[in-house]
Amino acid sequence: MKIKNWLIILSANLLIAAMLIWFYPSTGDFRCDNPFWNGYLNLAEVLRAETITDMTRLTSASKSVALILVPYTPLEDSELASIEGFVRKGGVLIIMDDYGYGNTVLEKLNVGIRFTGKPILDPLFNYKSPTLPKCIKFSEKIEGVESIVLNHGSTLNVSGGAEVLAWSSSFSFLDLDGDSDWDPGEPHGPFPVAARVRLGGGWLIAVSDPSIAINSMLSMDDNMSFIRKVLELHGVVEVLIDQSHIPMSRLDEAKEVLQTIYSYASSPVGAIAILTLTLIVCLKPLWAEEVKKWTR
Amino acid sequence: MGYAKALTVALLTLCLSAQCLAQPTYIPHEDPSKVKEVLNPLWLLTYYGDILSLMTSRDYASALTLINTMGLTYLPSNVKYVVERFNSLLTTLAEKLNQTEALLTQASALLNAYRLTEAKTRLEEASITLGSANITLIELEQALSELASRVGVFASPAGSKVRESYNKLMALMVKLKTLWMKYLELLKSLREEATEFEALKLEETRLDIWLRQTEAWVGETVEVYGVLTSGGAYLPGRMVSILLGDSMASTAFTNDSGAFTAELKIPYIYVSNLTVKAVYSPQGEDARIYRPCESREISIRILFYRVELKVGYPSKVYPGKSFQVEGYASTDTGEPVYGLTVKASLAETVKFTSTSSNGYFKLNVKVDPRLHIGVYRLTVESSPMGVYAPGRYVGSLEVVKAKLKLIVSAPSVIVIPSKVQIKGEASSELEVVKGIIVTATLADLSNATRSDNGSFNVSLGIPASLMLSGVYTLTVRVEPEDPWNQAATYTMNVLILNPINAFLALIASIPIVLVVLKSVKTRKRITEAFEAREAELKVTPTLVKPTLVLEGGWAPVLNCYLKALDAVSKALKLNQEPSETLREFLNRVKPMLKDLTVYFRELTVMAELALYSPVKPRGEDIERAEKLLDKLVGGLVED
Repeated sequence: MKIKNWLIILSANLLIAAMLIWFYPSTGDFRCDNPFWNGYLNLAEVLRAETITDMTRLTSASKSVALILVPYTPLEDSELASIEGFVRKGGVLIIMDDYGYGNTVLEKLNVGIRFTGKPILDPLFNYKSPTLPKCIKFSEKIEGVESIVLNHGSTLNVSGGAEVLAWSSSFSFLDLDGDSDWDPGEPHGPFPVAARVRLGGGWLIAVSDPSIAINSMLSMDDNMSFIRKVLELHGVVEVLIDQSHIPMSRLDEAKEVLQTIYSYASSPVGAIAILTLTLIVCLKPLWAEEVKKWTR
Repeated sequence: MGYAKALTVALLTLCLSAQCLAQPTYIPHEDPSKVKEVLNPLWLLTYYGDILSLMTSRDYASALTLINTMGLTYLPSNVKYVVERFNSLLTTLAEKLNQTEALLTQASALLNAYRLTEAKTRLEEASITLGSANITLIELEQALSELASRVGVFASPAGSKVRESYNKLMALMVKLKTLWMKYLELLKSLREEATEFEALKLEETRLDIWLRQTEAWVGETVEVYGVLTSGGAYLPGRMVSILLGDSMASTAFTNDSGAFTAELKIPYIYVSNLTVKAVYSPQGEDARIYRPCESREISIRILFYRVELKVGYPSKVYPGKSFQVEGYASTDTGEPVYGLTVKASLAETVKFTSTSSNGYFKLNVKVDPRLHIGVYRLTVESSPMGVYAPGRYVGSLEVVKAKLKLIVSAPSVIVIPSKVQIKGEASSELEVVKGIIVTATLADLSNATRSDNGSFNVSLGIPASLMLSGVYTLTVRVEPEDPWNQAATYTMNVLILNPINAFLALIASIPIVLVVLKSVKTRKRITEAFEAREAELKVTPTLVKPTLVLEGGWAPVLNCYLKALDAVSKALKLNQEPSETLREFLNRVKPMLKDLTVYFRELTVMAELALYSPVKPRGEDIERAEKLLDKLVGGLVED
């Protein structure tokens, strides 16, 4: 087979692959454009949230704005400074984490809340399995919420002036050795799973499981009501969801590469180059045939 | 093409499997719809142990709370019904035992007060609830056995934690039975006591009371007097209790003539009426001689002043700003009230003051700066004072923020790279704006500054880049530090011209120009070549009349036929059509040739032989043809 044919087949395949990647929805965890079970699409739609990919947006955020942050990748010092400025100026930071880099943010903000990073299990109050424990006790301020369901969540250590908003049941425990069973010495509940603290003019709210808001969990028990109540309690009218510190799937990486290629291709230079190449490719055989035919 | 197909399939498979490959290495959650159901019997039995423990210690309220919380546990379908039925029985049992205890307590208290009829009613009710509790207890035992079987207690080894928990539950069930027995014994003993009292022949008593006045101001003292008798005889030295409403207000002892007087102070309760009655409960030896009795109830009208509050305040207030609440406190007859404590509440802000001698009051309420805009309730209350009842006024006001007016000046055309100066001023309808944070955003660039006097100057450096030339939106957002002002945003369209970009576009367009030029040249070459070839082919053709050349042996015969054809055509003025065969023409002219047909037919046959037959002509054929021609032509001439 001629090289030319090989090139045509390869190009066609690459084009089909690129189209599939481009049009197939994101599958990454906590992504606001992911309509599957592990995405944040429903949350973003219900809250009419704006997704952000860098913290510069926070400089222009007003007091009634809440930032939902899922810190699964480390934050840079400049980002931490932006977040601190945002909260001290009156913003509401909702940090949802279990096994990520949430404590980096909490240490920077110097508040009396820490994520334990240990898995919480509840063999009695749960949805199907102890790994999906239910929290059944809430602060008086969270009215009308009876229970929320976690999904492989963790707990909080709360001290100082921080106020607990939600607790797990007394049957919950921290599975320190990972055997899914309670053993003597393993701490048992109730554990704080959501807490808040005043910081400057704003509020910091920590929730020890970002999965309570994924598409498949949002409609469970009072998960959505809980998020709504927390936002109402702090007078939030606009919600931002950070997408720059969540884990990226390979599909998302591929989408990003395509996006970069697209941005280059849509620039004036890129567009002209593509146009030129297309013209050459299209006209080349015509030139060759015609000239050969008429100059015989 | 086999390799191509394989490559296509491989690439498509890679794409379609992207979703599977797209998961991060560590998944911090799982799809709840795919989670396997897990029921841990140990924890379920432990929880029921907690509930039964509370019931055995007679803390029924806490036990019921725990049972209600069971609704939050997840139950697989195979045990759901049994667990729910078990919970229902537990609830019934807790309620019945609780009711029994309450009824027995009431009955005991009534017996102590020698109110035998009421006590007996309570005991009857307790008997029914206790019987019902017994039935529930038996059902509960059966349900526990079934539940244990369903959750796999009997399948677990002896001595396991599950078995231990189950054994504890069974022990608690025994304790519950014991508790039930205690209630039964208590019921029996109270019944015996009641029967004992019933057997006694008690003398009837009578209690009559009167009031010195039928209406009184709050805080005033009212004298109550009365007489206690039995069978017409006065009962001296007995204690009589005076009740105001349902509360004990005073006690008195009867004198030698069975009469008593008591002073009753009307409490500061601002209601229209209260009832007064006296109760006699025999004490000591009297309990075995006299029956208890109650007097009739006498109503007393309570007098006090109702306080009306007239309040004035602005309909709109601003966070962080103070506003004045003014008002006037008066009685329902219009008299001003002096010295009343007045409290105004807005959200969590509370302010106090007192009414002046003419009943007026004035409060300065500062709106909480953290308050969000919206409609709030303003409550103004006056505390009760002596004969003045508490007053209350509830109104609503709107917390709003003042709109900022922005005047912004920025260039409408920008040639990059450049430093854009955005100047402006923010003013508020309230007062001079002090601290503001101004953020200017253009394309992906943003800069912020702070100003103390409302006027601002933000510079936005736009570096040399590949930014597209075009119309962009410049956004200036002003965030006031004053809580009473609202953030404002100003937007305008700016034309950005990028010479670098234009230059690059120019360079990039060179290939297109070259391609176009090449196309034009090629077209020209093609046209030239086409024209040259066309010129070559353009030779003027010389029209030569075709000549009929007859060759071979049959030529003379054919020549004769052609002559005959010509003669016939001219004579009859008929031409042989191009599509017409020789025979067809013969048939057409036959009627017109009449006798001459025979010559022309033979000539035609001979011409057909000449044309289509491989037979070579004989010498006489030519002669014959010439003779036939002569005869035909001769015949035609004669006609």
